[in-house]
Formats: sequence, C-alpha cells, structure tokens
Amino acid sequence: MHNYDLAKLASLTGELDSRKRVQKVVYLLQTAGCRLDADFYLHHYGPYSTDVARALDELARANLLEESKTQLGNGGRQYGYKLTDAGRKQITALEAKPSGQELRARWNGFEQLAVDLARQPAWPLEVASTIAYFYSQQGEWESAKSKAFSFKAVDPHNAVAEQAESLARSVIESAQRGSAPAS
Amino acid sequence: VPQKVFRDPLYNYVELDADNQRWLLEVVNSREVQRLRRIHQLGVSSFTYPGADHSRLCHSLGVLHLMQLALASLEREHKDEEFRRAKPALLAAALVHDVGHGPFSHLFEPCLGIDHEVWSERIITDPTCEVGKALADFDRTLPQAVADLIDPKNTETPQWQKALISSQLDMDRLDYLRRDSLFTGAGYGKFDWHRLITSMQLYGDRPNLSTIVWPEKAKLAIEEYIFARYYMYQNVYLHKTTRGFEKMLEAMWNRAKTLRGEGTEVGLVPAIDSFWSTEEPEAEQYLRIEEYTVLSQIQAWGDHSDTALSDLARRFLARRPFAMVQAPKSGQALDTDLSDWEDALRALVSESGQFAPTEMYCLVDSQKPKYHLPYIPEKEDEEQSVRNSIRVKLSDDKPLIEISRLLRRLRAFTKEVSRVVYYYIPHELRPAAEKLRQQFTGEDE
Repeated sequence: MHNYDLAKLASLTGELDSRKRVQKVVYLLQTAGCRLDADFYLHHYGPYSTDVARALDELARANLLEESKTQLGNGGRQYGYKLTDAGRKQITALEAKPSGQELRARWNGFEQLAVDLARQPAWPLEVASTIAYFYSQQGEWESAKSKAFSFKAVDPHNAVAEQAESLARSVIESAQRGSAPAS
Repeated sequence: VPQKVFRDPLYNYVELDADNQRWLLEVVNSREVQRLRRIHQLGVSSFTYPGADHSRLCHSLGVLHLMQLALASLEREHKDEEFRRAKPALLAAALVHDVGHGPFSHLFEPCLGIDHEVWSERIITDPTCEVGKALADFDRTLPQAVADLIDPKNTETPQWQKALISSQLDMDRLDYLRRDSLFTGAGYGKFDWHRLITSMQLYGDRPNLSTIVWPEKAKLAIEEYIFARYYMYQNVYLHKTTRGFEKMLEAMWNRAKTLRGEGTEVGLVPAIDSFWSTEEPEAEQYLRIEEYTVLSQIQAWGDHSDTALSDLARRFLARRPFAMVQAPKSGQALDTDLSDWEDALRALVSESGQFAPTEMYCLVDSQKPKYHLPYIPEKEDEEQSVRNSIRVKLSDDKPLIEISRLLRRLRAFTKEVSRVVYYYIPHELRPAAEKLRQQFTGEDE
C-alpha cells in the first residue's frame, strides 16, 4: 500500500476517528475495486492489515497526518487522524507529477464511497467488513453472512446485522458490476 | 521410555519418545523434511557471517523442541480433550512449517516466482509426498490440520494454536533468533526463552478466540526478546552486504529468464529446466530444486557467452560484492518517487561504457522485508491481537496491556523503521555515484 492512499483517504473524508475505522474503510474500498494493495487478515474486530497500520504510523511520524489520542472508558486508547496542511501540500505536489497522477487515478469513482464508508457507525462497519472478508474467501453469500455473524457474535435478526449486510452487499455487488456503489 | 535424541547446539538434546512419537520420527525421516538439510536457514548471510551455515532442518527440530516444552507447560493448566487432540498437529506443524522453502530460504522466492508458505501447504497435503503420507498414516485428518495451522488466511483453527506457530512471539522466532545469533556469532539473541515458554497462558472465554498472553513476571524476558529481535534485524537480517548478494542472485536469474525468453540457450540444469518449462509444476518438480542445483547452475553460467550473466555468476561465486549507495531521499513519507535519481544513476552506469546491460549493474533494493522484522506493535487496544502485539495480563480484573505501554522505555525500539532504499553498483563507480547523490541531496535541501 502506498502512503499516498491513506493521505488521500484522509483528505476526502476529513477526520477519521479510529485506527479500526481506517482499517475497515480501506478493506471495503478494496473490496469495491479500489486498488489500494493492502494485505489483510482476519482478527477479532474484522479485517486487519499491517500495511495500513504501518502507513498510518509513517504519515503521523512525518507530520502529514495529525494523530490524536482518546482514552476510552474501558482503559483502552483510540487514535484519530486528520490531514495536516503539510500533508495537503504534499498531496497537491505529488498529484502534479506523472507518478502522482497514476496514484490519483486509482481513486477515480471511489471518492464518494470513501466519504460514505467513513461516516458509517463503527459496529455495522466492522460486521460488514467481516462479511466481505468471508465472502472473499469462499464466494458464497449466505455462508459468509452466517460465519461473520457467528464470528462477531451478532444476532442475525438485529438491526446492526441488517445494516451490515446491506452495506457489505452494496460494496460486493458494485465490485461485481465494476463500478462504485451509488451513494 | 526409549528416546530418540538429536544433539543440538542450542538445547543440547532434542528428544522424541521413540514409541509414542514414532509417527513424528517418520515425519522427520521423510524425504521432504530431510531436504531441509540442504537449505541454508539464513540464505546468503554466510557471505557476511561465515559461520551462518546452519540449515532449515536444525531450525525445524529446534521449533519442534520448543513446541514440546510449550505444550507441556500449557498442559499443566489445560487437561481437556480439546487440548489433547490439538497436540499432534501442533507438533507436526512446528516440524514441517518450513518444508516448502526453496534454495537459500526466502531470498530465492522472487527468482522462482514462488511463495514458500503456499508450497509448504501443497507439500503437506500432497499424498505423493512422504511427509503428507507419514502424517496421514498417523491420522488421516492430520495433513489438512497441519496445513490449516500454517495458513495465515485460515480462520477456522483456534487462534492460540496458530499463535504458537506464527505470531509476534512464537516458537519459530524463539528458535531462529537464538540460533541465527549463535551461528552468525553476532551474539544479540540472548534472552530468557525458558521463562517466555513456561509462563505463557491461554486467555479468553471463547475457545476459538483464546489467545496467548504473558504474566507480569515475564515482562523483562519479553523486553530482552524485543531487544534481541531489534539488534538481529539491524545487524544480521538487514545487512547491506547480504542484501547486495541477494539482489545479485535475483538479477542473474532475471537475466537468464530474459535471455531464455528471447530464444538464447541458457544451459539450464534439468531440475530448473523442468520447473520453468511447466505452467503448473508438481511438488516433485519443485522439491528437486535445491541449493546444490542452484549453485551448479550459477557455476555453469560462469562460462556463459552472455558477458553480464557470466560476470555476475563469477562475482557471486567468488564473493565479490557490489558497492552500496543509499537513496538520497530515503525516509520520504509521501513522495517515494525516486525515478529522477534512479535515471541519473543508471545513466552513470551506462555512460561508463564498462557495464551492460545497466539493469545487471545497477540493482535496487527497495522492498521492505516480509520476514525477520523487528517488533512494531499495534497501538490501538481494540485492534491488537497476537499477530500484531505482545500483551501482558496484569490481573484478572484488568484489560490486557501491550508490552511497550507497560515498559515505556521500549518505545524507542518498537517504532516503525525508516524506509531504506539501497542501490548496488560496481565498486569502480562508487565515487561518481556518491558525488551524484550529493547533488540530489543538495537539490532537496
């Protein structure tokens, strides 16, 4: 995954409130067909990519993303990210170069989806990305859904399950059509 | 109990129960596991550290030994049927996790266009391979169970089991860090491995999602382990001379492929010819490619009519490294485009008139290594898992804590490492290349 892609994501979406959200948004964008080239595996909170984690760390260390920390009630910490002015300038400079234009072109048609995914509530986003992960393994919708609900301990009749299913379905179907989902 | 023992420089004795573990001895004696004698654990690191001649077989036996100790320790708290049933696959996976490695371990993978994990799974589940047959003879479900354990994408096998094979602190790393340190002579791999193994615990209510954690009393042993991992990465795994020889081998192989594609006879040895001539090679074809095969091939190329191929082959065999020049803009976070510098460096090589084609004499090492990285944990608690973090359980009523949050002094060693791009060129061109680099650095300032 190229660091540009995460900076671009932050430029499109505005602040991203957690690393978990960044992971799931990138996974669903990839599922929709946006070529971000991150390698994912599955863990408790859905698909996770070391490539995404490293890119976030590199961009924050270079002050292209501003990192903020929130202490959660359970003692855990959550990290938010937003693009800095320096980051914005570097995106503009890179996009003016031929190599940057190639990177930019990969986002064509996926900008609105990035914005929509970044606004999704966290829990359905997690479950939707988990459904998409299981679907990518076997290509069978009902089995993917059932595995994801069991893995995430979600009641299939719950509203979250419905939201997640609808989100995952729209992303997967758009990839099959070869176009980003309608917003 | 009659024992089968293997002498080992790290553990003195690696012991198997000659009765109850006879099946495991059959796996050790399989053709595919014995082939690991002829695969260097550290690729071409012996070009830099002459002692680093140890094989994948001694490492595999070491991982098996550590797995036996880990299971014996965990078994004191877990005497259930599920735990007992999991043991054979875990022992076998420890022994055969590297069975798909090609010559010179990881470094030859781009030369053949292969992934050793994919081949390991294929070989383990292939009934024509002795290793798969030995596993199936003991339990017909074992080949698939072992393949699932080492498959990083598998989500069915319980996490704690996969974590013992592959995680941030697993039996594989515990063995190779100390073994590589011993054989290179680098001396950085010293840590209290015994405490790490005997104090690990299973954590979690849902059996499939249970994971491995450590108690607070293991924190200093974990710290030592992280230091060892960091120093080994900096001094051994990322060594610039070793990386240069890896790129030289890759360039040689790419040249041979190009020439062959153009219809030039490259005199392939039979095993490599057979592998390259088949679209989907069988395990048997792959397994015939060993380090001796590759070295014979390189020796033959030393007399090839293509001057670049023969030159690099002779340089490799006589250990004549290229000089390393670092990229002028290493560490850029967003604009990683080095094409202007690379064009200028290639022009310098080309205009010297001595070295052609340029791609054989201007080698780029820009890939981040996939293996042997230092410990860089995930910092958001909810995104932490055994695959990206080492966590400590302070007490039953407190959440798990990632080790660098517990020992803050570790933070300097657990940050993302800078992106480094190395270029390798003939020594004669180094002064001019350094001057060029200064010009580019000046432009950036």
